[in-house]
Amino acid sequence: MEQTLLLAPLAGALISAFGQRVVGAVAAQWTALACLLVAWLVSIVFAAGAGPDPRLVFFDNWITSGSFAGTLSFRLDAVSAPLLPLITGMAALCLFFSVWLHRGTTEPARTGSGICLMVFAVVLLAVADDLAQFLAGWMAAGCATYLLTGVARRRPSAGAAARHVAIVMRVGDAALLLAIGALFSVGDTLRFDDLFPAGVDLTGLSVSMLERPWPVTEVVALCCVLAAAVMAAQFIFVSWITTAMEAPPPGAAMIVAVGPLLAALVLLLRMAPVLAAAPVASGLLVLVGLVTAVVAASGALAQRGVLRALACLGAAQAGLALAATGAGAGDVALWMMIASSGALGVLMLGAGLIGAFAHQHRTGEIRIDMLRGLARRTPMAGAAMALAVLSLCGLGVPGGGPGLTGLATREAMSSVLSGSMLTMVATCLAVFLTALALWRIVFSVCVPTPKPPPPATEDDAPPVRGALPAALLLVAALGVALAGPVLDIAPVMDAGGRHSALVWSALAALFGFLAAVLAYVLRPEMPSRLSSALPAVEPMLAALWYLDLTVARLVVKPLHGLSGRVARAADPDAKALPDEGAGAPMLHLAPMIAERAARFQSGFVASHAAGIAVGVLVLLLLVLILQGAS
Amino acid sequence: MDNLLSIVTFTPAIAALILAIFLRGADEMANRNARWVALFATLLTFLISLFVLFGFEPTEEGFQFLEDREWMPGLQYKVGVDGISVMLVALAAFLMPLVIGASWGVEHRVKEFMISLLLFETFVLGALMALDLVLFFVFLEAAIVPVFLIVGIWGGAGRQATGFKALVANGLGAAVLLVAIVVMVSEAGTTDIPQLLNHVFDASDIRIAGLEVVGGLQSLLVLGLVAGFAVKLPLWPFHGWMPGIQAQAPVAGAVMLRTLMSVLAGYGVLRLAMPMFPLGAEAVAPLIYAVSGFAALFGALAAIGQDDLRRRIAYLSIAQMALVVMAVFAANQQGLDGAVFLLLSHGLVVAGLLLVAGALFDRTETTALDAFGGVSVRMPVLAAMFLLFTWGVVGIPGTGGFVALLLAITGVFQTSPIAALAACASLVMVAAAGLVMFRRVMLGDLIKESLKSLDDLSPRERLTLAPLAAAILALGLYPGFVTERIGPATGRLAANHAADLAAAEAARAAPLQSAGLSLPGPVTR
Repeated sequence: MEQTLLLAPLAGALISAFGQRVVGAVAAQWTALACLLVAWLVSIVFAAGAGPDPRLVFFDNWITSGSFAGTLSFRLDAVSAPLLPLITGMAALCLFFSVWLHRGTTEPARTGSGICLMVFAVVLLAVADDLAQFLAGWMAAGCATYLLTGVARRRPSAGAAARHVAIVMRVGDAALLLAIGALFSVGDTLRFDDLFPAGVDLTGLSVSMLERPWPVTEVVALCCVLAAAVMAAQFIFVSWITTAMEAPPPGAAMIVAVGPLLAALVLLLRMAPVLAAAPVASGLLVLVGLVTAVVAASGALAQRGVLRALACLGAAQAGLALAATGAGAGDVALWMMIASSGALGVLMLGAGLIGAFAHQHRTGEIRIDMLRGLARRTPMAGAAMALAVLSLCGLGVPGGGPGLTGLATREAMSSVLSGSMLTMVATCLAVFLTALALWRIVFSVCVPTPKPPPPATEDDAPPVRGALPAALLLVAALGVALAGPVLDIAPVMDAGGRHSALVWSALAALFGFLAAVLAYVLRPEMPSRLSSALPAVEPMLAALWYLDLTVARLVVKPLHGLSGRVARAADPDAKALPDEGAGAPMLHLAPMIAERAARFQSGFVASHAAGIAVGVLVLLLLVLILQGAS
Repeated sequence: MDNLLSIVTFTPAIAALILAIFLRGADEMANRNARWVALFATLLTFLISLFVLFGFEPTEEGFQFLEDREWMPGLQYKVGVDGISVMLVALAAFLMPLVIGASWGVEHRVKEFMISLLLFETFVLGALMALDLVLFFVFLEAAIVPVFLIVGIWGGAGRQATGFKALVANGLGAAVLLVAIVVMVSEAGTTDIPQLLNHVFDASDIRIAGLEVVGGLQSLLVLGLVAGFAVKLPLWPFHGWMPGIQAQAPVAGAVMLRTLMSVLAGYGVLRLAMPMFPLGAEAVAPLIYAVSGFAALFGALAAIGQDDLRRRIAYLSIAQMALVVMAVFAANQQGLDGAVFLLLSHGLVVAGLLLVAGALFDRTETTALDAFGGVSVRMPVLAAMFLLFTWGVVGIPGTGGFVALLLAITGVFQTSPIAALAACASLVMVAAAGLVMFRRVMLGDLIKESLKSLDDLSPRERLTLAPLAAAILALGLYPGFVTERIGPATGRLAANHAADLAAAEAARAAPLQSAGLSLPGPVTR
């Protein structure tokens, strides 16, 4: 049964990628979908049956080298159990949409295999019992993101985006590899249970670098923070997630709702004991998370593509969750990510469905301004999106009263991050900006405008072809919005300051809604006027506060310059004269000698053979002489 | 069977002899016969090597399938395998039929081409199994000759200049190696590798030109051996000869150079440099880490800047081989296992990439990256293979590269976190170089007219590439097959190394303890 949860998505990936030659394209996709549905049902069974104690199933040894023992195992605990139904369920929905939206093209095969691979990867790391399996799942999630981003392989921008995503994620892989190296060097084991919390006491241990000892907890925690910041698109790596929106909507939904962002959170939750013992790294994590939450949420306001805007909001939500983890509230972070992932997934799929009516779903970008009023052609999708936004903004009675899912998570998160004025302000700002950006999308889609939508054709008659996915989306949105009572969290209400944090966060969400009503319903000309009045602001926000540009200037360009210089140093005339060159310092004279020697030599092989023969002869003589002497 | 290793070693040589003596003419029939005889011989060699692989008992100590005969007065023909060499022998025997398959299109002097390949296989296998230092050196240096023949006769237009450069570099490397071997033999009084492994070389500090050499003769010998092998690996700063010759070599020559010659050199470092001179290896380890760390970064950076597919592959390979050296000098089990795994994975992956480059060159007569783009539209199977091999270099889970990198970096971190950091940084750049390479060749729209009529892989090419792909996946998914065999050998190497260091430490501490002093303890653990 446990194997099914891993093997079903893997089988789905293989069937989706290669099965069409055997059973046909359509049957392959439906079979892959069936695999995911099986995985979803199994995961529900597991989640329902999960107890307070971790349940461990050992499959097999995988990588063994001395005390280094990487296994394939299945660990069901408080972290993995609630994640499994979300991962598999959302993936099944995404695959269904992929098949539905891309009928008649070859994209479902690649998108489908990417989706299934992503499920396999994230489940693999979520249920990992040791760091080797975790790393495999981690890297596989990056790989699936790469595949999903580059699905439209003939579109140059998709290929470039996929490369960008893969390279950035490799930074996270490298950081995690270092963390594993550090943990193994002091703990001599890879198993989470053996490392912490009751296993090896890491406090007081150090690794020696640059002639001085460094506390191992800080080294490991900083590596993990870096890895998580990369994977969850946090400051300064935010821009990869907007770049990845070259993926088709179902693939984009997987990336934002299920893939790397969840993986980053799982890493931090697994490493929570190390983080708790590393104040510098935890503080950095809070800072990074909150900065990202503000930067990404404000960036969402300036995005023209709906998927990019939602991706920014995904990064912002992940930022808040990571900040909560840094503050020591892993459970709050977990439930918040589950709630926001579900809602963002619904929003992205809804945008993809509505974008399909505007024929935008295959262009790589669904522009928000082209979706105006299109929700009336598929009201259920519009309703699902509105419900998801209400859930994400936390509609309900503040102070622990009844409400949609987001209410409980928002309040719990606000109370956790109310430790200082700065964190509270940043949290409220992020909540305000997030609400504003979310309502902007919903109003754009749902509110009819004088500008007519693109004319419909017979080919895309919406009421019939969009009804089933829209209905499913509505059901999913209801599930996401009403999952609140399942959540095992509550805001911390033990101090007046924390209570005020709940009030302020509720007000921030409300102000976000009111500002959106003002800017996108009552005074729709307001955003463009603001943009004209402050011409520098919109490009700055769209470029995520020029982070992309800064990273390009500070890292990418110098690296390219350096690589060109190194390449020229290695082969000075590599392009102009491919057969010459002077790579090693000892060979600088070689081209010159070669030019002259080539006139005289009758064959370099003969020269070399003669040289070797002389060398061997000398060696043999020496050996014989020495043996004679002995 | 007492002489199984000799049968494996000399089967290709016998086939080469048969071709040389009995095959006459250069017509189509003769060419076809030459190809089939070579293929049959290499397949037979692979088949027999499987008997060695599966007959090998990993838990037994020492070398197995030993053969020991007098070769000439005072010199022994001694061969045998341990867990490390048996896997590398299997790799060499596995790759050669694929190289023959990839060279099926050679039309010029086919007999000589096949003879060169067969002799090369014999020399490589001989070097991997040799348990006599002189025998090892002879096989090692002899293996270069067929490679140069293949490049010199069947290479590109600029083969002469690059060949000369390679000759200078390899000649210097061989000379340094020779000096180191002569010193070793004169110090130990034997050429027997197992005896040399047990011999304790002098490690007392010496002064040369006013400079104190910590580790004395051991350090000098380690440096000499590493420098000698570094040319063939190649390791910065001894790499300059390689990218050029690789760009000029036919696909078979490129595969021979980049995979099996590198494997031989890496094996040399692993078999001779590290275990024979534990104190010297310990003393020079920081220098080796610095050089190999820089080399890993240098190779990856240089790869990003290359505009030619084969040159880019060459530099990616340079970066990986630097990691091999780094992992060997970690001298713990994870490092050594990682090094062997890297040698295996690198051999398969780079061979695959070079065969892909060869397939593209056969169709377009260029490997300039600018000449491609959108090839996956016409060649989806090649694109899938290319992606898998690129992932193998990058180290994606499911490929052998993942296991190799995980073990190597874990091993290196235990002895030098900074070196591990350099290795990790190089991984990021390797990913950049590899994925950009894949994108520039395979992705995007198919615009160039010259590419619109490309045909996908032929059945022969698929048969050549598919085993490589399968082997890369098998290494990644079931690494236990390798680690079970190499583990005992690498474990013994690591344990002996640690014991030697502990003994030296105890010897160093004894006078201090008798004087009531103590040495500072290690910081970690």
